[in-house]
Amino acid sequence: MTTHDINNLIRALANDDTTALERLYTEMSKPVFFYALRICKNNEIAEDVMQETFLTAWDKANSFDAKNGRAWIFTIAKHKTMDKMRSGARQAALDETNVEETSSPLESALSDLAFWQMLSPLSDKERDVVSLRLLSGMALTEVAEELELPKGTVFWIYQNAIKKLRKKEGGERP
Amino acid sequence: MTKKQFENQLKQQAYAAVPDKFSDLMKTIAAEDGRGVSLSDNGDEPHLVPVVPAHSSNTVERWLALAACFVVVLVGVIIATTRDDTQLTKRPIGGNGTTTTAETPRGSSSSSFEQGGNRGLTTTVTAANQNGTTTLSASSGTQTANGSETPLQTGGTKQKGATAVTTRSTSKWWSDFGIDTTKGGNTTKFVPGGATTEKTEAPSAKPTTKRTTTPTTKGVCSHQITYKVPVMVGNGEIPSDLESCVQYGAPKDERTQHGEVEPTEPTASPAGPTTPTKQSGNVFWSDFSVEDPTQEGECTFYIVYEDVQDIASGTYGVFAGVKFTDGWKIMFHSVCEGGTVLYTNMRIITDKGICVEEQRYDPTTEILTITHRNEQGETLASYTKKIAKGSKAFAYMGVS
Repeated sequence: MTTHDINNLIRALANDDTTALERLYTEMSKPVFFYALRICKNNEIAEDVMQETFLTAWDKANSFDAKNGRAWIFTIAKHKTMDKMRSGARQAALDETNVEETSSPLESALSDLAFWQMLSPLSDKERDVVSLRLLSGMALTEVAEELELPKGTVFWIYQNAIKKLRKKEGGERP
Repeated sequence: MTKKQFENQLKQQAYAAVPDKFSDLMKTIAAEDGRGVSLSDNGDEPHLVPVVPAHSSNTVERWLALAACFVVVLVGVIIATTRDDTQLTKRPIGGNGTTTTAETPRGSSSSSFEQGGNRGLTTTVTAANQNGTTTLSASSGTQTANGSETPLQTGGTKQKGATAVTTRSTSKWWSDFGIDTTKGGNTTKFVPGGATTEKTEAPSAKPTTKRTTTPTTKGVCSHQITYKVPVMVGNGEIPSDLESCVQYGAPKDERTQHGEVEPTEPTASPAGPTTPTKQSGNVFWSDFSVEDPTQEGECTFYIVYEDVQDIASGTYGVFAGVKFTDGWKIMFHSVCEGGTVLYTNMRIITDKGICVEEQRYDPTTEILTITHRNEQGETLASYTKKIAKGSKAFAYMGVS
């Protein structure tokens, strides 16, 4: 689905078009989930962000005037994720006084995701690039902007990361 | 399994772990404002059929916005009609179709006057400067049937006059590369199409530039360039001070950060890539030469570089870039894959469009083939070069 299509779907939300919402959700919900997951490293938060992002998009579609609807969605998701993480940190600080042991909830949540284990051979940077490029469906340029890296470097990292993953999976050499 | 298939498989595995909660989203929307969504009888499942309320909050907001606009316009009209615009009321206005000349703060201007309709309810004044360029257009004045006037309103638009066409000078263009074309030799010029021109500048301490512009069968132009360009190799990161390397003749200590680099005099070479004259550290200077049909218009550089030494191992990638005054325009990695196909469908974005490049290296014959295509798949250029394994480097520069 092109950026133009995404833009049209978002504009349709302003007219209360639930079919458009469903199509947008189908197209973008999982990319948004992985986008949030990359930031927060928490499955539950990422799911919440995924839902709330589309709720906000539905509410704010009237004010949509961006050129890139996909980027607009990701921006909403980023803000939601940051908000969630901030409120989560506050809650954790409160809980710390009442609970003796707070085993790393982030890591345990992540360990539930089998795919995250698949990415284990990768460095943090490689994981970020693969997550944004492959799972969030961002263009190389967008990934480069997100990670503040040169586009060529992103391409290079992505190629290496895929190569590593294929090696681990016993696939063919790229 | 191809790389694409592997990527898809990975993506599908990852996506499978994410639950689809669209119905939950619809429930939330229905519970919060119900806009476009209604719950079923048992209240559990939302209908996906749009149900637009007669007066949704959305509609109310739109009416409010419309009302606000109306108030703003009304206030504007009141202010405008009570304003004493002496500049225009004092202007001598003749009969219908007449043209008068008046002195204005911006010099002499002529005004034409037209009265709309027999009852004369609308007048339009258009002022033009001596060059005939419209500078002010005023309208919405009224004139009653018996000839008494009400002030014209200065609601006209000020239009820009003709602007000079700014052409990017070639010397400026070269200076983006750190080439000082003011010293020695002539400034080369682009001449798209048309007659063949060739100018060579070879100042003693400057790089050689040679450009040939010729019509081609595609109705475009080709350029031949020989220029000494620094290319960084190896570490995959662009150094922040690479720009200083681009500055030909930059102090040695600035360049030694990437290895001792001593540029050597370039040699004029025929079309086609040449091996670098000297390399040291991870930066080297190399001669580039290319003849390439291009799209019409001004041409832009791009650089493709491969370290042939590592092609056979298939584990090495390099990049090249050119920095313009407004930032990196051309920058990409070339990636060796499998020792034979370096890459395909690499889109090289330039100022003037996108060129698709494919590089293949046959370790057996030691032939490197570079093919450029436009987006329609038409081959723009194809080059072959025998490069022995173990060659230190190979560089290529094209025009797009």
